[in-house]
Amino acid sequence: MKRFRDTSIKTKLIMIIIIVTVMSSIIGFSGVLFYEYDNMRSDLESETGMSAALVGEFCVTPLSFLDESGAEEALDKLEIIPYIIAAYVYDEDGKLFSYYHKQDYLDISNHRIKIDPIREDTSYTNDDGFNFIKPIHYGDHYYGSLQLIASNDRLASGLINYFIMVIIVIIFIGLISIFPASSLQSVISNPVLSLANLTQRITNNKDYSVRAKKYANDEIGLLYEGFNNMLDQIERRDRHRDIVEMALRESEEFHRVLFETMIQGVIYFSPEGKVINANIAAEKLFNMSSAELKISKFDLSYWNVIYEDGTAFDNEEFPPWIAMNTAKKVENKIMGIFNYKDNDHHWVMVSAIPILNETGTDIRRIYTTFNDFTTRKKIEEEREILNKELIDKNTELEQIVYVTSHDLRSPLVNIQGFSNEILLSINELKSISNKMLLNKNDQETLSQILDVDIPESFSFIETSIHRMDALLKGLLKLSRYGRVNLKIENLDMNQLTKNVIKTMEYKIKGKNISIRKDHLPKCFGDEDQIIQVFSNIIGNAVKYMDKFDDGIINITSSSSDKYSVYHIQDNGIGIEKQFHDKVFELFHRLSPSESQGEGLGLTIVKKIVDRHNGKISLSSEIGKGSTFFVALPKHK
Amino acid sequence: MKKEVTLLVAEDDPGHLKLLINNLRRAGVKNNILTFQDGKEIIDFLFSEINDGIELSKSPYLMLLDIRMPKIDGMKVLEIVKSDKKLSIIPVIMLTTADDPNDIDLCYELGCNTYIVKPVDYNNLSNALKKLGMFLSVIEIPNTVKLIS
Amino acid sequence: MFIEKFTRFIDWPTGSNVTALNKPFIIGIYGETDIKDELVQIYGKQNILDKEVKVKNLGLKNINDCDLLIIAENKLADMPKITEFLKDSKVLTIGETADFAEEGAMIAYVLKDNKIRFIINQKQAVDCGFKISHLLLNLAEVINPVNQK
Repeated sequence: MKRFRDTSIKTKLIMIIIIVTVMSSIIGFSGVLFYEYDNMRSDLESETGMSAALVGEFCVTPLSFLDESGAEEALDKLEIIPYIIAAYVYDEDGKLFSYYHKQDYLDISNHRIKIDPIREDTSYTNDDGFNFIKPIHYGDHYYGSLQLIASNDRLASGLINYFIMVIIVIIFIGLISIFPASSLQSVISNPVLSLANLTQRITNNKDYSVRAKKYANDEIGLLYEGFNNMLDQIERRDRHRDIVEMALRESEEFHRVLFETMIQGVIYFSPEGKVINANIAAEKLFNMSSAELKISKFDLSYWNVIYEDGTAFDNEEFPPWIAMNTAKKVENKIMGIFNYKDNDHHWVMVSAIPILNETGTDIRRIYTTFNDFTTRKKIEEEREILNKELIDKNTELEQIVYVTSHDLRSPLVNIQGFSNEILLSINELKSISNKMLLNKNDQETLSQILDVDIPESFSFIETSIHRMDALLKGLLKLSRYGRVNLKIENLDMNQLTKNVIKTMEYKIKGKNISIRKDHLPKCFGDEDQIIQVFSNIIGNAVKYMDKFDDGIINITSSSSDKYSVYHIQDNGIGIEKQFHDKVFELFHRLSPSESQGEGLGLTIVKKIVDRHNGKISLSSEIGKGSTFFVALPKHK
Repeated sequence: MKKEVTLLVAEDDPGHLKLLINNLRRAGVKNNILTFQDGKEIIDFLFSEINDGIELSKSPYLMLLDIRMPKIDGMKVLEIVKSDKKLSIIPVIMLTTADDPNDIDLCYELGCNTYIVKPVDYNNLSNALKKLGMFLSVIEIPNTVKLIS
Repeated sequence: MFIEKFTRFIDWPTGSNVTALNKPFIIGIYGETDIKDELVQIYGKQNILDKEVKVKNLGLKNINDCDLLIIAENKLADMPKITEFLKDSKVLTIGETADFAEEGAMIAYVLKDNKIRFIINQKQAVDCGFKISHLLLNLAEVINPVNQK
C-alpha cells in the first residue's frame, strides 16, 4: 500500500480510473450476473413450472381416475425437454403415483417415497438438481403434486459461460480504459505536477517571486490561487523580515556601541544579585573586568564604599538592592567607591531601575547606572577652597586697606598739625624779626625766607597732605563700600534720582546744565550705595561738561528679564575708547590737571555695582559725550 | 565752662595729643587736662576715683577718647563707662581718624555725646566743649544730646 | 366412485342447481341398477361438487328432477325419450354401456381391462349446454366431437 502511495499521481490516477472502472464493471457485471442467474433461475423455474403445469394438467384425470399409465404417458411428454431429468407424480396423499426418469438419472434423494402433500408451488435446489413441485389442481380440487427435477448442469453451465464472458469483457474494459484514463488524468495531474515542479523550483532557488499560472477555476485553481497568495505573503514577509533584521542589527549595533562607549557606567543585575552585564565604564569604575564581575554574587563591601561625609556606606542602601526589594526605582544615591587602581575613592551617583518581565509580575533585572562625578567633585572642592581663599584674601585685603588707610591717616594728622604749629611759630618769628635791626641784605634775605620760601614750602606740604588725606579718605571709603553690609530692598529710582539731582544743585548752579529724566523702573539694592553710584556718575557728567556748550544730562532706562538698566547720558567731552576700561581703575584720572577728584569715583561705582551683582558699561566718543549703563537687579 | 571740669584725654599718639592740647589752649580752654596713653589707664583711673569715693557731680569730668588705642580701645572704654552707673554721667567726645559710619553709629549707640573726625576743627571742638561745659552744671547730662561736628 | 371424479371435469349449463351450494346434488337413477346402493353408500358420506348428495329413483315424469341421471342398462330403448325430456333440463345423462353414448347419453362408461373407460357424446353434451373439460375428453373416447372454443 505504501508503494502505491508513493507512485506518481499520473500512475495513481490511471490506476484509480482503471481500478474503479474494473471494479464498477465487476460490481455491475456481478449484479448483472446475479440478475442473469436469477433470470435464468426464474426462467428455469417458470419453464419448469410451465412444463409442470402443462404436464400436471395431463395428470389430473389419470390421478383422478387412478390411471397410472395415463400419467406415465403424460410424463413421457417431458422427454422433449432436455434439462428435465426426472419427474414424480404424487397423489393427494403424497404417495408416489407415477414417475419418469431420463436415461442416466440417478435418484439420489430417493423420491420413491411418500412426501408431504404440497399445496403450493415449491422449488429448491439440491444435489439432484433444481426441484420444482407443483400441486395439481383442477377446479377447486387438489389431486396431488408433480415434482420435476431439472438438471443443475444447465444452470451451472449457463452461469459459467456467462461468467467467462463477463471476465473477458471486464478485462477488455480495463485494457481499453487505459487510454482515456491516461489522457484524461492529465486534466488533474498536469496542474498538480506543474505546481509541484514550481514548488520544487522555489525551494531550490529560494526565489519567492515566481507565481503559478492558473489553469482553471476548479479546486486546483483555488489551490493555485492560495499558493500564489502564500507566495505573496512569504515574499512580503521575507522583505519585511529583511528590513526588520537590518533595523534590528543596526539597533543592536547602536546599542552595543552605546553601552560600551557611554561614559556612564551601566550594570544589569539579576534578581539574585549577580552581574548579568557590565559596560566598559563600569569596569573602569570598579577596576574589574566584566567577566570577573559576573563570577559570583556582587559584594559591594569589597570596595570600601563610603558616604560623602566619609562614614561607611550601608550596603543595604545600594540602589539596585533597594530597587529589587521595593520594585521601585531609586535615584541619585551618592557613594564613594574605592578604586584600587587610582588608590582613591571615586564619587558616583547611582540610580537603579527594576525592569519587569512581560506580564509585569516579576523583576527580570535591575538596570543600574553609575555617574562618576569625582572630577567634578574635585573641581568643586577646589573651587570652594579657592573661593574661600578668595574671600579670605578679599577680606584680608579690605582689612589691610582699612587699617592701613586708617593708620596712615594718623601720622598725616601729625604732619598737618605740626606744620601748622611751625607756621604759627614762623609767624611769631616774623613778628620778632620785624623788631630786629638788620642790614638791608639780611633784611631782604630774612624776608625772602620768612615771607616767600618757607610759606611756599609749606604750601606744597599742605597740598600734598591734602592730597594724601583725600586719597586715604577715598581708599577708606572704597574699602567701606566693600565691607559694609548691604541693606537690599526695592528702590524707587525716580525718587532716589530726584534726591541725587537735588544734592547736585549747588554744583550746577550758575552753569548751563540741565538734567532730565524719564520715568525709571524700580530696582533691587542698598539705598545709600545706589545713591553713591548715581551721585558719582552724575557728578562726573557735570565735571566733564564741555565748557562752551549747554550741558544736557539725560537719564533714561531699559530693562531685560534680569536687570533694570539705567542710562545716564551726557553731552560732555567724552572718553577715548582706550580709556573705557581704565576709567574704573583705582585712582585713574583722565585729566588730573583739569579736574578735582581722586579718581576713585568710578572705582567705587564699579565696586558697588559688582556687589549688587549688576553690570556697568560705558559708551562714549571723544567730543560726543558719554553714556553710562548701570544694570541693577530688577525689583522683586 | 566751670573751672572744676577736668578734661580726661585718652590718646596713644603723642603728636595728636600735643596738637590737641596746644590748640585747646589756644582756643581758650583753661581747664585741667589729664592725659592717658591707652584705654586701660583711663579706665583704671576712673575706677580708682570711684573707689576713692570721688563725687563726680562735685568734680566733674569730660572725656575725649580716641578709638584706636592699644590695650583697651576707645569703643570699649565708652562701653564700660556708659554701663557703669556712676561713670555714665561723664560726657564723652570721640576723637578719631576713623570715619566709618558703622563706627560712628556704634559710638552713638553706646552713648557718646559727640564724634569728631581728625584732623580736628578746633574751633568747633572748643565750642562743643563750651556747650558741654554748660550742661555740666546740671547733675545729669542727657546722653541723647548729640552735637553736630 | 368415479362420478364424483368426473363431475369435476364437467360444467353444468348456466342456471343449473349444481352451482347452488345449498341445494343437494341429486343423482337420479332411471331403471333398475345395482349401483344405486353403492351410490347411496358412497355418496351418503361424500359430497359431489361440495354438495350433499341425494340419490333418487326417477320415472319419466320426474326424470328432470336431478342433476345427473344414470340410466340403467336395460333402459337403452328409452334413451331418445329421455333425451327429449331432458332437452332443456340441464341434466347430465350417463349410460352404463357404450351404446348409451350413441343413443344420446352424454357419457357412457365402460370397464375395459380393469380400467374405466369413458365414451363422451360431446355433441349431446354441448347441445344441452354442458361443457366438458378437455382433460376428460382426452381420457375418453369421443363421439360426435365438437370444436369447443
